[in-house]
Amino acid sequence: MLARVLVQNKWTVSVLEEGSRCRVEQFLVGLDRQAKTRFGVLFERTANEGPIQNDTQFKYIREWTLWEFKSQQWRILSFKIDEERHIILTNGFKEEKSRIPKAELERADRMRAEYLASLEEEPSA
Amino acid sequence: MLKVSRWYQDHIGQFRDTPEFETERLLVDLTEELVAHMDRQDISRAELARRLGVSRAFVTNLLKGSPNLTIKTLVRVAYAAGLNIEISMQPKWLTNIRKYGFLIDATQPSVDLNEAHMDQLPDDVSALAA
Repeated sequence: MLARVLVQNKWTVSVLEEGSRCRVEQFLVGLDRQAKTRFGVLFERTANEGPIQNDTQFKYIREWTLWEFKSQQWRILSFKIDEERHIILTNGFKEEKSRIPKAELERADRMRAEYLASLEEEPSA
Repeated sequence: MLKVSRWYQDHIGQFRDTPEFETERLLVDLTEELVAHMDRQDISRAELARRLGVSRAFVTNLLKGSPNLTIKTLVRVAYAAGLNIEISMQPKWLTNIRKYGFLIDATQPSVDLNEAHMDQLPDDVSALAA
């Protein structure tokens, strides 16, 4: 599980890769221009200023220790590593009936756990 | 200085220099300022809705940053929150310096946006970037 940088300034926003597959990039490619633009603005603001404070655009999902970027009905799940000023995007989806599908939460949670575990497996310098 | 990946530039960053991107940026920046002010002043969404004479749902929708937000509504909301709004127009190269910290760089694999913006810059911009 590899984190690859999307945008970076004071904070880093990355995507997770599973092998050669990146769920977030595949998701973003399929969006219309307005949704891509909003996500781009949110990612760049996050990189420049830190996490978005407005919870209609970036919201903590308490039970899952995850955060969601929001643009219209589209959602991208992520997790934060505050000490590294790093936000890592896991997966994106369309929210229906104002609920996040449990399968998407479980996927993000699994990806987060695998990524954090892979950091611990890295040999120390 | 903002750095962007090649993938990001090709798929999303390409829209940066467009009215749509600038509209979204302004909406996100304004709603962030409003939320920060409301937090500092302990103004809840319900309280802002009461001051405006609208529903709480209206305030929530406002904070989502609809592109159809009018200046009239924006000024009403600002007033209700105890704020004023100033709108001005600036040359694009100047706002790019302020937004992106002079010039945009890129990570590896990378695209170097510095060169792309050089022709828009005056000879000496160091004082303006401060």
